[in-house]
Amino acid sequence: MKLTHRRLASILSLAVFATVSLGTGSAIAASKAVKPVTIQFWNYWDGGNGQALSKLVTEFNKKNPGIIVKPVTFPWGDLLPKLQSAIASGSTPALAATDIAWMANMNQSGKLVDLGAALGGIKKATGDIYPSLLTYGLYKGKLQSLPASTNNLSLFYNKDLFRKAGLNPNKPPKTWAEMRADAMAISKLGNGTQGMEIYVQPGEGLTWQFQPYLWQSGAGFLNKTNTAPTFNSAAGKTALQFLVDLINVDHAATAGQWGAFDKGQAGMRIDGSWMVGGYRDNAPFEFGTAMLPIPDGGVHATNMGGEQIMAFKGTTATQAAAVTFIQWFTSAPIQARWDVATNFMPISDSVANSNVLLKHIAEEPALKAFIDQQKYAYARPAIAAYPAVSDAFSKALEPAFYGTVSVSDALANADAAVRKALSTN
Amino acid sequence: MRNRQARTAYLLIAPALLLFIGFTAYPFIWSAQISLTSWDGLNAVKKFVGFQNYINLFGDAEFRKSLSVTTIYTVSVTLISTILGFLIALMLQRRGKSSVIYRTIFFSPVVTATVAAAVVWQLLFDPYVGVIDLGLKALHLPGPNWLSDTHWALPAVIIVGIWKRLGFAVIVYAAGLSSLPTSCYEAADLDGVSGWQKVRYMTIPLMRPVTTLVLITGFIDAIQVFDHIFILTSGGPMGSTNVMSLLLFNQGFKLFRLGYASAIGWTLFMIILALTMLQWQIRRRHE
Repeated sequence: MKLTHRRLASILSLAVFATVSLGTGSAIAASKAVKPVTIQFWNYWDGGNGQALSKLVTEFNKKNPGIIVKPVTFPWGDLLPKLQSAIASGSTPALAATDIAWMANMNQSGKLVDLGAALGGIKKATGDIYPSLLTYGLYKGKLQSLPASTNNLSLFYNKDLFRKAGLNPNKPPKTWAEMRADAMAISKLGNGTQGMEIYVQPGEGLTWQFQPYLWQSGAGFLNKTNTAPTFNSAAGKTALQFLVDLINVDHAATAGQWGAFDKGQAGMRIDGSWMVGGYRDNAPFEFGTAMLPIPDGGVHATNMGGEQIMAFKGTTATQAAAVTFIQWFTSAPIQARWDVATNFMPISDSVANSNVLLKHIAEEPALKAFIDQQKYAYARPAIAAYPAVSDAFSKALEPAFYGTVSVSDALANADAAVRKALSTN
Repeated sequence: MRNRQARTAYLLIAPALLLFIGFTAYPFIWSAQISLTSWDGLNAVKKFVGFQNYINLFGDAEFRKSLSVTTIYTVSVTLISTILGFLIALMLQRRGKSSVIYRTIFFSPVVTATVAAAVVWQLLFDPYVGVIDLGLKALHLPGPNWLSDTHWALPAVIIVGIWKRLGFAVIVYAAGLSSLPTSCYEAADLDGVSGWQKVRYMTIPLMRPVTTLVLITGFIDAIQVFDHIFILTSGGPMGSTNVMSLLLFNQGFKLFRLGYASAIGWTLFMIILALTMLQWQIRRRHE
């Protein structure tokens, strides 16, 4: 009797197992037929930019039922280490958007998809994207990434402090001399108020903020072949001396931590267009923007920032899905909406002239300075040695801001350090 | 039977062992390999450079400065937090049951997220609206620009390091003090030994194993400091707070010099190993 029960139980178990297995098998087969390709999109766009990206990605996923793009957002400082370990371990995402300053190194990884080949040639893939932005994506004749966004630096100023200091809040400075006079007037308000906030912490932040002063005064950064520095010149000294004097002679600025402008403790600072939305919503003061002031006899110049979007080598399906997304994301209508949501600058004429973006600019007057200035934006050297060059340059300049090294010595030290960085990296 | 027990034991430690091999041992050995290359972390080619990264380290002024900053930070935080921890634990011992509240208060920084705490400290150190400088000004003392002054930035991050570490020392010393034999102290009382003499000639020697533990763990913890300095000063101004972990991070993940960063990591490891062994040797001699 017991045996019969056992047998019955075994037969029933087998039947259940077979049914479940067959059922699951057919379900797997069915799901395989329609299973979309899921790809990760690594980036560092957080806050409002992250939300804007999320909305666009949702829209893309709806329009492309065979593809599911999943944005994965890291803090800015974490994305590069994550990519480094992913590349080393062969577990790269299908898509990533990174800082243009990293591109020279990313290009050498051997892991990026040739977008030119995937999109019917470089010309077809790039359309009317501004040539200066393409320098970061081209490597050994291949197009390995496309611009996902661009931006530049302009002058932000605190209209409340301008009023308090007896200055006209609708007349921001246009020249270095005016900027100096305004900074001195504001710093006289006391209680630690700085006329101008200057970035003096070593690293790319200092270099990227200082380069426009070099270019405006007629000095360069590196030569055309990116093999030697060109900033150690009379014009370079004028640029550095101007900022050093603001700190150590005029006492209109402080060598120290960054952030005084955000708290309403500084009259002016230079920063990027991505700050416009944040200041509009959160700044405890009324702010304005203007093109960067220039020296007498100088030229307009600003620095170009932004991100490049790239696809990593993987399976045929993931590569195709990533390329489809890149093509969609860099198309003019999507870029225009992306710029409206993020306050980034247009990457091409067709984006710049789109009605959506023109309407947004009319509604957001603080963006005008950035739009006007984009044509004066310089690209930083797209070479693998650039991070080391920038680091060496900024570390040599830092003591000048603290007044412990003369401007001439700081530039001479920077010249030697940059030459060394160029030769060893 | 013994084989069976051994097999069970190996099976039980297998998950932990696998995790250790995967996440500690393998990266550890791999980083040694990387330290002999000029790899940028991205390039498909890892160029072998032998011991060049280690040779370059000792000619690098930034590394030497970083080593000196790390030494000052480590010695200051470890010694001050150990001494203060011992004194506070002694005082708490006399408070009886109410000491639990104080222990909780002193231990709370240990379990507070360092990054969140560092952001709060950043506000406290603010030269214009920070509580510290406002307090100093109320006492007619000049309030320094803590985090932006090359002379004050290191003391500022040391203060935060001590604040973070103190609670651990207090708890360990309090536990050690509570386990001391009361009979010795009762005998000392009968002999008319003063309070200070009991601390000097009984408590401190009896607490030596605890002190060794607090010093070694404090030392290992402090020499690897990264998070709160990264938030407060990022190593500045002018490298005055640029500790070795921060230098390693910047070299590897900002300047694309992963080979060089690995060499810094291995040098840091060798320093920790050598000094820990030295501390154990000193302790053994005293036993």
